[in-house]
Amino acid sequence: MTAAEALEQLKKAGLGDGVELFAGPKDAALLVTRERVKQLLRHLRDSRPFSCDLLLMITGTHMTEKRAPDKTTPDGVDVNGGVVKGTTVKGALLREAGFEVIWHLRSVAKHHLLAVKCRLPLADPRVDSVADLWPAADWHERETWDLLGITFTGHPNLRRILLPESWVGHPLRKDYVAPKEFEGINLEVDAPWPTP
Amino acid sequence: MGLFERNLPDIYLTRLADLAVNWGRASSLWPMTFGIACCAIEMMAVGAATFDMDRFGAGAFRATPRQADLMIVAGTVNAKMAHVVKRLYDQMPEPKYVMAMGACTVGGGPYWKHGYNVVKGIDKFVPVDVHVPGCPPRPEAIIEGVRFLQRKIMAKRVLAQGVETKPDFTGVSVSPGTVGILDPTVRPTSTVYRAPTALGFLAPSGGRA
Repeated sequence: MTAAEALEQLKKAGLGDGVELFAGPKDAALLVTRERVKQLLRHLRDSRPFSCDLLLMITGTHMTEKRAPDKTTPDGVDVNGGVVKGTTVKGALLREAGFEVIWHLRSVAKHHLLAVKCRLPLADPRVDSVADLWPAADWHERETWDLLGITFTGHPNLRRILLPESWVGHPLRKDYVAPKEFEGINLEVDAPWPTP
Repeated sequence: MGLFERNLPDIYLTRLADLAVNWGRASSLWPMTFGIACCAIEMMAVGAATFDMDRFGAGAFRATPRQADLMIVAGTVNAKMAHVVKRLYDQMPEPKYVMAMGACTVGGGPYWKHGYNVVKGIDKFVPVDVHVPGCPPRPEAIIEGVRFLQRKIMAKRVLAQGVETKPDFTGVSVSPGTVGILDPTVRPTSTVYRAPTALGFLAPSGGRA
C-alpha cells in the first residue's frame, strides 16, 4: 500500500482531516498535524486494511529553514554612464525551521510499509507518545528525546538512554555546542589535524 | 617488587635479577578480555589459531582485571565508558600495561572532529604504553604492539638503581601494507631484545647504560 492509497482509505474512514501527502524524493509519506498523531497511529494499527502491527522505528530530525536561492540583479549602467549596483532579493521561505518526527510502520500480515511524519515547532517540540500502542516505541522515543530533546507526552519513563544521565543538552540539535569536559574526562582535541 | 624497588646497587647480580624478573613479566602478558567496539573482532582474531598470540605468551585472556597485566583497549571510548575503563585500570594489579588499539583510542579516529561524546585518545585518562593505529589494526599489528611492549618491559629496572634505558624503537613493519607501529624510516640498531640466556646481553654496549 502506498501513502496515496493509504490517504484514500483514511478519507473513506473519515480520518482525512489534518493528514496530507508528503511527496519525498523516493517514497511518499503521510504528513500529520501533531494533534492527530496518536489517533491516526492507533487507527493504522487497529483497522483491518492497514493492520500495521510492527513499529520499525521512530526517528527525529532537526530541520533548518529552507529558502529559495537569492535573486541578484547584475550591476547596470545609468543614463550618465555611472554604475548602478545590483540588488539582492532574499529567496522566499520554503520551509520553517523545526523538528520532524517520523514513524516507520510495517504490516506483517499485509506486507506493506508506511511512514508517518509530523512537524513540530522549534520552541515547543512536543508530541504524544505511542509507547502504549507499540512497546517498541519506548526506547525509540527515549533515544529521540535524548539526542534531540523532543518530548513525548505520556511516555512511562522518559529519560536518557544513550548518553549519561547528567549530560547537558541534546547533541543532534543544529545549535548544539560539544562540551570540553564531562565529569573529569577531557573531551578536547589536543592539537589540530596536521594539514599536508 | 615492593621493598627492593630500584633500591639495590647497580651491579651485575642485581641486573641479572632484573633480567629474570623482566623476562618473566614480558613472556607472560595476560591481556584482559575487554572489547569495546569493532577493534575487538581483530583482537579475537589475534587470540585465535591463525595468528595465535599465545606464541608470544600473551594469549591467556582473563575475564577479570584482577588477573590481567595488559589492558588492550579495543574500541571507541566515550565519556560514559571512560569512567569504566579508568576503574578497570585501577583494579589491575601492578605491574600493568595499556595498549591503545585502533584509531579511536589513539586519537579519536573518525570521531575526532564531530564526536561530541568521544574521548580523543585514552591517554587523556590512563597512561598508555603502546599505541597501535589502524581502523582496525591488522592482527599482525597487534602482535607487533605486544612484541614492542615486551621490548619495553625488558628495558625496565626492577631492583637495581640506575637510569632506565629507552626501549629500542626498531621500525620494522610486520607485513606489507600494514601501517607500522613505529617510524618505518628508522633502521634497526644494535640493542634489539635478545634471548635472555645470552649473558653477553649484560655487557656494556652501545645503547645500554
